[in-house]
Amino acid sequence: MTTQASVSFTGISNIRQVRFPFSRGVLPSQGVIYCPPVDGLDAGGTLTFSFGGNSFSFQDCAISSCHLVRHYDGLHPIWMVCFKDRRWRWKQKTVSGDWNRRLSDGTVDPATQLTPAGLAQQILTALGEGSYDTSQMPTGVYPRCLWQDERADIALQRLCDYVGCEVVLNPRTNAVEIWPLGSGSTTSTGAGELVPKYRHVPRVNVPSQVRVVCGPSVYQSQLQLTATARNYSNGQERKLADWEGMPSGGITTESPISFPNISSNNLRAIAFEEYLRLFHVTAQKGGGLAVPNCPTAITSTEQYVLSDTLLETYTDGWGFKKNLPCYVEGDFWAYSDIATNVSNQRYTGEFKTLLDRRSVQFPFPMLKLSSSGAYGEPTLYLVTSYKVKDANGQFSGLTREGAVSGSGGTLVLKRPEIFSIYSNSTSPGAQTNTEAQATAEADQYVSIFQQKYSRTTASEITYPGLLSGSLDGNICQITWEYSVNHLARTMVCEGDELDVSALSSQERRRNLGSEGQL
Amino acid sequence: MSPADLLRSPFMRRDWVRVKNGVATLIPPHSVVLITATTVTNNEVVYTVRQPNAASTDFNWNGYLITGPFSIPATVGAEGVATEASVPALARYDTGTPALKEVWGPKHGQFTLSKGYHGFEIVGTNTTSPSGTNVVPVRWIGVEEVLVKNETGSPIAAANSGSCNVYVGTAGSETDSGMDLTCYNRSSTSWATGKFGGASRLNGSSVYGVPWQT
Repeated sequence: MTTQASVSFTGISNIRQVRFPFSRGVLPSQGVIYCPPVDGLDAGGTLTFSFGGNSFSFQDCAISSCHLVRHYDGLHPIWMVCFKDRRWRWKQKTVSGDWNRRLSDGTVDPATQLTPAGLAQQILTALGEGSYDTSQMPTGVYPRCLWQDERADIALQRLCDYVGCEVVLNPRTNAVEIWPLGSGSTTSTGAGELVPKYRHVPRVNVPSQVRVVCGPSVYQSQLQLTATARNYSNGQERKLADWEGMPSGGITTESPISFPNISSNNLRAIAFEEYLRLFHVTAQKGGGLAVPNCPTAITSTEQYVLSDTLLETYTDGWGFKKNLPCYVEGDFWAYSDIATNVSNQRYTGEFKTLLDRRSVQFPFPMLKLSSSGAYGEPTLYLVTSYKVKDANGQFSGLTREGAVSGSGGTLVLKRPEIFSIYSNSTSPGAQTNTEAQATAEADQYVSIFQQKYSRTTASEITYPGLLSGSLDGNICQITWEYSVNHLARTMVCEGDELDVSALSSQERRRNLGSEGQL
Repeated sequence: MSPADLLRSPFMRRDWVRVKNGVATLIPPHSVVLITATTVTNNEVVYTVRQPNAASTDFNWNGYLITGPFSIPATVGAEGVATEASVPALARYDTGTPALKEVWGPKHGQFTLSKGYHGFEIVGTNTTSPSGTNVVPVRWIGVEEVLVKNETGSPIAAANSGSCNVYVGTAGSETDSGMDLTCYNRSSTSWATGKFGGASRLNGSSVYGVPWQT
């Protein structure tokens, strides 16, 4: 004798047919109930499937729409009642927070550090969820999350996408679970299935390689400064010795205070602004352009993208970490009473950085004096952090790769929050090389997505009856069908949502995208 | 170490004027120089300077400046900066060890201050500049009266003027400085030759001498 199946939905009677494709994600799954129309229907609550003495329920469902379906003879219309599972409530919730801020050395600010599980818990709490399991979420990665009244469901989806996971609502426990993609169970065979398990490999969806592209690496070293000035005739910046306004006596004899031997008004104006006041970055300390620990070939200082801060930070009186400003050091006359030059000292006066020009400008002439009091060009270095571009304008940074068994090309994952720093700073406590930490985090993303694509096959199988089950990182869709006229059935999909009667996951994401959120 | 800004740098805290070399002689740093002329260049007053009394033996009551830590090249018109030293400045001196409150001053034919000469008070301890020369902080206090001696060979009669040599040095052992000035004897006594007196500038720029010996 065929085992009896039954379906109930709070507030709806005489159910003729139910079809409920149940999927993963933050959006509610939508099912359909066919029943006789009743005026003033305001139903909602629990959907319960029963089969063979077992039952399972979906609590707090709600109706989304009702449509009359007319019979071919125009008589006995049927209502098509569309309903959604309890995730319909998630749309109204928001979350705020600032997590996993990165310090200038690429490490995570401990005051804001949260694992993916911790981030998910923040969001799930904002969604009003009291029972959840995030224990399987990956560790060793720290996605940057800045939420300002963000829609919490979309924040959760975005987080899961970032770390290769998916949201599952478990009807057995009514709890939310977050599963790493590629993990989980497989559908069993040899259980009297109505439609056998047919597998296929959707090659279009499986890459051959995963590449994690990190943010630009940051370098810090002493950059040599050379005195320059603009030619008036062609606007070109020149080293002082080659400047068109340089008097015949050279630097040693020309007073940088009054320029008595520069008669042209235009050149005098440039002299007062730039002569021994404007210095251009021309090389690394000691000469040469190569940046320590940087694999990019450097042919010009134009490849240095300067900032005006150091990698070192200080903690202000309110507990916030702030970057220290860049500085100038070297050998120069410090405007003392005597013609004595300081040696390898930090310059503590005012100066201006012209980052796009890779230059530094001082409000007073910077010079060296010989023991006899003659003027000379000082030896100066700008100590600051900077990034490096290659000849094509691409920033130098870490990339990590891992092979996947597909043939769909390279999946590029941009993780700009991860970057390495390289510094020759001797300041107490300063980080000098964070490549190992950055590499470890990037490699973890590679592993996460290698696992996501470790199972390349998709499949569907249909069992008789209304079988209890839950989704996970592999099983992505279960469709329950009930009819008074036909045998109840349960269709289970692995690897992809293959139920053509339901909105695909891509279409659901497009819907979220059209709301301008995902 | 002195940072370069208006508040903290010693060089920035002084009043510097623009000077230019009047002769083709290198003016070392911290030299005492004499103003010989002024011009207006680029709307700025520029003082022409040279070594004190190098061109004549005339005694100068003022017009001295102390140059800055830069040398002024040995070219006519080469420029630098100098100060009146109303705020103490480092100045070169020739020999000995200056002591606080002593008065030193410019000497004929040199860029350095000399003991017993006039105009600058020692206000600090001497030191050595990077070039190895001796420098000491000084402040301009001006010249009120100088010791002079009638060495014309003839008396300077009352209500008459005559040239007197300026004498400097230890009291009782003064020596001829090599500088002289014309004094007007307004006393009722004839100023005999070879006799000392005092001279000061009154009534604008007139110099009056008073014989101390008869």
